[in-house]
Amino acid sequence: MAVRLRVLSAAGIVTAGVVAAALVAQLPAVGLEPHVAVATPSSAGQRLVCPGATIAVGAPGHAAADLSASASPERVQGTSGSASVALTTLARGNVSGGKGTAARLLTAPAAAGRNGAIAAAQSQSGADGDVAGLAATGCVVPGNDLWLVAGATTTGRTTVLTLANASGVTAQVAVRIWTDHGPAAEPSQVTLPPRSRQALSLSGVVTNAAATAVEVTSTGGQVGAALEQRTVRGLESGGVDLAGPTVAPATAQTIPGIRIVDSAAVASASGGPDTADLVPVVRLLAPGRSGGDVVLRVTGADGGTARTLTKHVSAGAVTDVPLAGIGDGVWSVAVTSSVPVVAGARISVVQNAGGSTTDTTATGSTETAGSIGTGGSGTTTSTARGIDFAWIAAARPLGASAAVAVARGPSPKLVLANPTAAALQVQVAAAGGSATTVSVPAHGTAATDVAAGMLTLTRATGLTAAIAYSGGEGLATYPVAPADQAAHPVRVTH
Amino acid sequence: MPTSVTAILVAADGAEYLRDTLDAITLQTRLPDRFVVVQLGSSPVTTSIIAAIEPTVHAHVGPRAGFGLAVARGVRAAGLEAGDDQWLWLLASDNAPAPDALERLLQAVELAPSVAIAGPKQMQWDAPDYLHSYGETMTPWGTAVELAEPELDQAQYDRQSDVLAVAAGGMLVKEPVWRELGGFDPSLPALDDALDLCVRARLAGHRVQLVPAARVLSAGIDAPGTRLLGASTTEPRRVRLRREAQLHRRLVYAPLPAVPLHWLTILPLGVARAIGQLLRKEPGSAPAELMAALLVFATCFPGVIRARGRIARTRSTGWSSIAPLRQPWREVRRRRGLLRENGRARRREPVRFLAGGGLALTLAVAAISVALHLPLLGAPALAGGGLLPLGDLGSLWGSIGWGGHPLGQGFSGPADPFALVLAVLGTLTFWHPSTAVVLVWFLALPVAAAGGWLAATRFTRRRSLRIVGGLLWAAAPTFLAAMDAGRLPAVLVHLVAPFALLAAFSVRRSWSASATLALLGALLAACSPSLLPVLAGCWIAALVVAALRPTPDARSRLARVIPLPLPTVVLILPLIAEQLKHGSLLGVLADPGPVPAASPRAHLLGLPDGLATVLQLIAGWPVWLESAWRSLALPLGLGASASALLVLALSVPLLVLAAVGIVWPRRSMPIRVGIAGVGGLIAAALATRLDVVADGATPVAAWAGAGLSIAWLGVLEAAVCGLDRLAAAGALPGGARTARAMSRLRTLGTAIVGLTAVAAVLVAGSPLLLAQVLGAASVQASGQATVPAIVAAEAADRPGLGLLTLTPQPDGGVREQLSRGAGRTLEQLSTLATTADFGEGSTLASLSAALVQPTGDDLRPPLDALEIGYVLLTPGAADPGSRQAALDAGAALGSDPLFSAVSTSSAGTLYRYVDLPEAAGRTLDAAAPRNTATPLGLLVLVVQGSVLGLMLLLALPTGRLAGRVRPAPPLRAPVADVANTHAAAAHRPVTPEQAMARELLGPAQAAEPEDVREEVAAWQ
Repeated sequence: MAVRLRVLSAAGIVTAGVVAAALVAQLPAVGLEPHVAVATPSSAGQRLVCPGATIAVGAPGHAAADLSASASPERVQGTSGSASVALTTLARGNVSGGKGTAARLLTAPAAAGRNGAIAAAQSQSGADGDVAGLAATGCVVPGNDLWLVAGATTTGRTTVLTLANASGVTAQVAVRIWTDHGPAAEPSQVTLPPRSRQALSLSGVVTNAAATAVEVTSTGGQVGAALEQRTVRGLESGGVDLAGPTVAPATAQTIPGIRIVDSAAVASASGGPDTADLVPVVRLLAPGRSGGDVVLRVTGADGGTARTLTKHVSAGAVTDVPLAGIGDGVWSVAVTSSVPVVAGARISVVQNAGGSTTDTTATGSTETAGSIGTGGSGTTTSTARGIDFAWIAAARPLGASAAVAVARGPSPKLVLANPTAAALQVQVAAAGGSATTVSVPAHGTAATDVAAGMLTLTRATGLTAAIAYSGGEGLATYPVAPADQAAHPVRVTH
Repeated sequence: MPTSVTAILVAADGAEYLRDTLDAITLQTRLPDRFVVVQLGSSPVTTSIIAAIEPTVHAHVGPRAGFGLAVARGVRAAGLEAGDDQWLWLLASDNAPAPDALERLLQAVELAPSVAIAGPKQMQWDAPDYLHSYGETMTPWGTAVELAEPELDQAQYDRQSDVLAVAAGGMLVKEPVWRELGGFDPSLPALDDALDLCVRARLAGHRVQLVPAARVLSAGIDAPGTRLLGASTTEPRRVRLRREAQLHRRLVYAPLPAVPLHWLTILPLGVARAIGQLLRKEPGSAPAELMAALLVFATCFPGVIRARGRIARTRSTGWSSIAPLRQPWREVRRRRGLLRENGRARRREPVRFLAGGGLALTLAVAAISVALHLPLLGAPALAGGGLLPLGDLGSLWGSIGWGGHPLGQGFSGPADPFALVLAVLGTLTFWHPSTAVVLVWFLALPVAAAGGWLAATRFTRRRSLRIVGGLLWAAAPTFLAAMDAGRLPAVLVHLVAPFALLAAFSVRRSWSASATLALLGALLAACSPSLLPVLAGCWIAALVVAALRPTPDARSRLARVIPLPLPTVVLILPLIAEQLKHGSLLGVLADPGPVPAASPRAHLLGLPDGLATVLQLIAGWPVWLESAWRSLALPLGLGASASALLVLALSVPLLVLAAVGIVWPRRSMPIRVGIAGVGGLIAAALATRLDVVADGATPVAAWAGAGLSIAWLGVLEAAVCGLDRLAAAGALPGGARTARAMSRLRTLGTAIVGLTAVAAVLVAGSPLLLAQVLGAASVQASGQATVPAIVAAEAADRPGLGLLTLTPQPDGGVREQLSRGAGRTLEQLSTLATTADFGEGSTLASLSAALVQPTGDDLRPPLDALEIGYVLLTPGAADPGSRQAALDAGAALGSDPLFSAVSTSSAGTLYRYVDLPEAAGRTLDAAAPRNTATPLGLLVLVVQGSVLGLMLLLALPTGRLAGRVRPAPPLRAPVADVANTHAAAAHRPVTPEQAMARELLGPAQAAEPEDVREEVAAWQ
């Protein structure tokens, strides 16, 4: 009996113990909160890098591979508060040209208190060597990983990457280039001494690429970058533009500021030889291992109906998606993709469709006569049709307030795209002027005319914005960067 | 002039002896002329007994009086006139004389007129044929010794007659000599009074003689005696009295110039003798030695001066005259040798580890272990998983107690108890402490097999099943998982657990086992503090069981159970106090060592996580080792869930065997097994719910493997018992020869069943066992430095040079870790840092936050203050959040002119702080004081050291040594053959199982005689 009793109680204990263990395992965990210290260091001074003048490759009077610059872009710079902006001219590096052509480092104290956020933009227009056009771009926060979606190296297209090291230490920069045929084999390595600029012609790396995109990664100093494309079709200037960095790969991108004028003229002109790159396109690159489907949603500022395009993008190949059937107006493109992509857009303008495509008249004609003399000798190119193009980068969402520098240029418009699901009322205030309220519908686009100078946007959280120019001097658009140079809180664990 | 004898009986309360003694005196063939009874106290019963005899004088003294005082009172009360032929016959209440005792004594003294003191033969009260005392003497150093052994009297000592001294009981002393000598020395109230009197008589020129024909009984230590020394006197008190008497005599007998020397050596000798008592496993007598030394040291002067004066007055010959009567050294040594022999004979027969297959098993497993860990051969240190190198000896011993910890910004606080384990471990290979950890890795499997084998000897005498037990313990999944994860503490828990079990079996019997268990318990608690609740529960249960048992030895058993937690408590108390002060008491339960990455949650067939976890724990696995299991099931093409199911199923055969052991039990076993098994299981389940540390911001559960080791003890026990039952089952009829053959066959069969179950577990654990050979192990051979080589090189000159390691986190934050010199070593770590953020401060946090983004802060002051020379930015995890954080941090560090990138490797990018001050990091312990530098630190060290030292002395296996350490245990009459043997046999437990069963079930159900034969275990 005793044995049976013991066996029963032993079995009972084991069963009860297993049940107890099972119950214990269902309990919520007890313990101590992980220690997380949230620390916010004081912000560093604000910095912006302006890329400087457009750069020509093998300009008359120079060797074929020489890089030179002649124009002096105009800058608009300032802060949204009372702080003033200091200016440093960077070393001109491998680009010859006057002091005015150099890249600039702009600095301002951290945006705490009444200092305000810094903003700057530059523009240049008119003839530059064998091309003429409007090139405007925003000055950018130097970084270590920048993406540029623009350019081509087919015949007549010259694409030059400008790198400016704004920091006090040497920057080891790796430049990775993608083309419509896939990525270039090896990244190009560029060493940038502190506070200097270097330019790199993509033709030297990839030849005859109809579409290019570039990733700039820097070890060491942080750099600013810009990609310049100039186009010459035979004897006719095809325009010039300076494109700033776009947004790093993501599955959602917004490209505001696609300002299309006289689309009929562009469409008719694009039927000619070597003019296929006049059509407006959205350029996409999926830099990851796999491609994916991309949906482009085009919305107009006039409240017109949105259009949706779908395209498959293969991995590593730069793909241009024509924006067919988009009429005149101000548009934004919302890109959604199954894989991370970088995006940009190109638009063109043909101001005088009846103009001559070549200039057979004598040299020395004035610029206004529609042709450009280069150095008084040699070739001339015709600008009679007034062709220009613009590369438009994707824009990052803004914070609650943003400072906007509007560079000088023809009829600047502030284009606002709302990727959020709620309509937003943005206050736009010019420096010293009164504020106006612009309402941006959900998933929609709005545009308002602005004047050159500093603007301040408030209640802009989630919006993307760009400044778009269009006029006799050509086309240009650059995105408005969010004012996010302040130090952010960091969760520190151990 | 006729001889006149005055008998003086010192009567204590004790009717059973006194009545017999009084009767014996009245039956003397030569009656004493006067009979003086000196009654101690005034108990009416005793008074009436004495009055019935009608003594000549019935005197009273206070109940507290000693023997000497009572005799003096009796002599005074007798009112003797001076006369040469007056004799005093001294008796105590248990000294019943033989009828002719006085007559024989008187005959002897009449024949030899120079004899002043004559002593009878003292026989044992219970066994009157056995000697109790027959003459006393001293060793050359003055220790009092009996001349005769307590053995059957065959007249073997009768030739001796001239001796140094005789016992007081039954002593016949010449009254004038008594008067001349002044009686007994009042400074020797309890012991050695007769010896001292006889020595003085000898010095005064008289003889002391033994009379073999005269016999007097003595009850020995059961004698009522006096209040000072009687039946109720405890052994420690006897030790104290004996030592006091010896010291007093030493001071009295020594030549005058030597007296100060003797006096000065009293205290040091007292300490040494106390340690000797510990080594003899008599911890209760150690304070008695100290107390005796202190008492004599402080209060000896009046008594010594008086006694020396008396000797000086009466002495007529030199000390050399008694020298021949002392016991010569040769005899002293012979006696001790005999004692040792007796002691050895009493020890139980040892488990035959060498011949019984244990050694062979251990060696075989050792060979396999070396083969499995071949890549680690010759490694200077191990790193990876939870392993780090050990620091040098200075650092190891500097990390214990209470002192500075060079973690983070540095802090002062109590060390983890595990730091002491590491210090001891590292000291084993003092020339290069990290080697000890490598050795542990090589020896873990064989030691586990040996431990399992030894534990199995308790449950089976079948060799093959013992081997199954050894393999079972070495193949425990929790053990293999701990090895794989580099969990040194968990490995130690598993290695120690069977030895703790063995010690627990012997706590009833021996102080040595009790101290061993206390130390092993402290080791378990230090290695796995999450076991603390279980250990505390066990202790309380043992206390209750010991306290509830109404047996005569319950008190001594309780005394051996009570101090069990002492070493654990002194080790962990400072930590508890500090955590309590900080409000994070649960942090005490954190596992020592580096914080591992969180392990994946259990997930099985869509069961709730909790249930899957319990299944995993029941199968013996402390963590969900998905990748290892998948690699095991890869050839079968199974998915994640199916492979997990397969691995868990491989434990089932063993659990079935354990179930057999429980439901088909040896009588005493199942409940204990059940309790051990489920107790460990619940402890393990609790551990999985205990999130006291965090890997970055991810909480990490405590290691469940320690609890599983305890549970596995139960599984081992039940499975081995089950196999043993299977092997013993169903004896078939037939001749003895057939039966033997069948039994052998059955044993073989069950061994094969057992080995199959073990093999199944081994298959499940094979990916872990083979990981080292296949190069998939997380534990790797490592150098002494765990920082990048360039930092280690610079740290040779700058042991305090800081390396700040930043790891980007998925939430965009950063995890920082500041190490010094050649990198963190195991003993530097502290659970205070991992659970309560000791050493973390705003400086370090804000510095880290400022390093990972551009900042306007000047980073030089914090970098200089923390003596940081390098920053290592690790790549972090592969998720997008970590990658972006790594990019941002790399950008910020790369563009900071304060830093230059030194190297980039898979470990990350190393940046050097270019403005590092020349003096930075030259010393390591500038930030925090050493553990000996503060009074608190010293106090902690002294308390911990003395408690652990005492326990260690008590625990040392000194079976042979104990006999040699002075003083030799006093001679005791053996328990006479007849008395009480039946009762003793009925109560003596036969096996630990039975003992435990009795403890659990009470005496009524235990001790069924037929059990005894079945339960005969192998060591008997």
